[in-house]
Amino acid sequence: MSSLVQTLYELRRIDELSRGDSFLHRLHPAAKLLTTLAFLAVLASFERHQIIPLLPFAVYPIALAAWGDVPFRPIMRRLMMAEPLIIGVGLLNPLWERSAVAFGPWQISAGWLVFASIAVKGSLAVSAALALTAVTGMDGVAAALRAMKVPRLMVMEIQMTYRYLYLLVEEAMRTINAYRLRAGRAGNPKPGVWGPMVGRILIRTVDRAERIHQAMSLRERGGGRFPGRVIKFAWKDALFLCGWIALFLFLRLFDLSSWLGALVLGGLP
Amino acid sequence: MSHHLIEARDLHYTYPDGTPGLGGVSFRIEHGQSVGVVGANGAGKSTLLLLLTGILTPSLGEIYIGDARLTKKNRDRIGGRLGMVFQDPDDQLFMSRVGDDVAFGPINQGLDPDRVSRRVTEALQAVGISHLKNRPPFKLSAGEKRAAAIATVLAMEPDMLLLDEPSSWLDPKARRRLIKILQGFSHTKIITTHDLDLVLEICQRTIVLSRGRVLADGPTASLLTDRKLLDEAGLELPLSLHPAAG
Repeated sequence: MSSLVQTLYELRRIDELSRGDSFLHRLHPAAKLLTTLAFLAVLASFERHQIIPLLPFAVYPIALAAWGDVPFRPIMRRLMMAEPLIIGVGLLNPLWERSAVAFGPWQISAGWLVFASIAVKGSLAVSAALALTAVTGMDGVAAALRAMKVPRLMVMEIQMTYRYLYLLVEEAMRTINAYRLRAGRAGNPKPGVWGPMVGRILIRTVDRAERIHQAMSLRERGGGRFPGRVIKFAWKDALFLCGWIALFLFLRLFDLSSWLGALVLGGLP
Repeated sequence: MSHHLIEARDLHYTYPDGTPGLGGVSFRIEHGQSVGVVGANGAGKSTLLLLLTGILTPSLGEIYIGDARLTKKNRDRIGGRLGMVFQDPDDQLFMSRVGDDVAFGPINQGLDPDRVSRRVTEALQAVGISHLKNRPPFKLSAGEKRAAAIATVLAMEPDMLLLDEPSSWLDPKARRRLIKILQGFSHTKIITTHDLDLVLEICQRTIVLSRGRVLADGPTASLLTDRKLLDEAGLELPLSLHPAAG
C-alpha cells in the first residue's frame, strides 16, 4: 500500500475513533480543547533546556488514549510522521549553542539540551493533539471553538481546511496510481514528472474544492451554521478541566521526576 | 402564480475564459412536471443548472422562480426553493456523518433542533437509508452516497429538485432503486443526464440541448424516438428502444 493511501487511512482512522462512546467522548468538546490548550501553554512555559521535568506530562496524552479506548498504534504512527518536522525545528540548536553544561555526570553542549527539550515538548504536544482529535473529532473541535465564541468564519475555515486535506490526498492518490499503472517498472514518479504532476493535482483539487463549495453554499445560503451535538457544559466537564489544570500546575511547580529520582536513590532528607 | 414554476428567458452565459456556455435558452416548467435535459458533452446542461440555482449569473437573460426574478440579491432566498443534487455525491457530502450532512441544510434554514431532527429522519426514510444516519459518508457505496446526497436536499423541503447526472456511477440495482425513489417524489424535477432510459421512465417532457441552445422541447416519448433529432444532438436512441433490444 502506498504511503499516501496509508496516510489517508490513518487520517480517517483517527476521525473514526472520535465516534467512540467512552466517558471522554461524552465530555463537552470545549472542556477537552481547553484542557489541551492549558497543557500546551504549561509545556511552553518550561525553560528551553529543561527535559526531565517535562517527562511526567506524558501522563496527559496517555490518559486520553487509555480512557478514550484509543489504540496507541495509530497515534504513534501519526506521531512518527510528525517527528521529522519536530526534529528539523530543533536540529540547528547544537550548532548555535556550543557552551558546555552539566547533564548529570556528563558535560554536553547546551544546544543538545535545547534540541532534546524541543523534541520532548514537540512530541508531547503532537501526541496530545492527536489524542484530542481521536476522542473529540474535528467536528467536535469545531463545536468547541464555536462554544468558545471563536468567529464563525474562522471555525469554518478550519473545518474546510481539514476537508481540503482529504481532497488533496485523494487527488494525489488517484494521479499517482494512474502514473504507476502506466509507468511499468519505473515505479515512483521521477523528478522530471513531479512538477506537472503536482500542478495537475493542485488544479484538480481546486476544481473539486470549488464544486464542494458550490454544493455547500447551495444548502448553507448564508446561514453559516454547522451541525454538531449541542451539549451543555456540565459539572463533570468542569471537574475534568479543573482537575487536569491543577495537575499541570502541580507538575510545573514541583519537579516530580527529580523528587522520584531522589526517593529511589535515597537522596531525600 | 405557483412557487413551483421555473422560467428561463433567453439565457446566455459565457465562461470567464471565453468558453461559450449557453446561447439563448428559454423554457417554462410548470408545477409538478418532470423534465429531462439531455445533450452531448458540452451542450450546456450543467451550466444551465448552475444558472438556475444562482451559482452562476447569466450574461444575458432572466430566470423566474415562481413570480420572482432571480437576482444576485435574492438568490439565497429565492434560489433556496431549488434543491440541487450534484453529479458527484462526494462533492455534496462533506460532514463526517450522514446525519450531520442531512441536517446541514435545515440548520442553515434556521429551524429549531426538533424540526431539524424530524426533517433528517423524514429525508433519510424517503430515500431508504435511515440505518446509515451515523455512518461516515466515505464508507458508503455509490448508490448509498447518491441516496444520501438526495436526502441532504430533500431535508430542506425544496419546491423543485434539480439533479445533475443522477445515475452516473450506479450499478443496475442502485440505478433501479434511484428511479423508484425519484418516481415517488411529486416535486417539480429537472434532470440533466446522458441516461436517456432514465429520462424515458421518469420525465414526461424533455429539452434537448446542443451547443448551448434548445434544439427541441416536447414530450419525451416523441423526442427520444426521433433518430434524426438525437443524431443532430450527438445522442443515440435509448437502449430500451434500440432495435437490438427487441
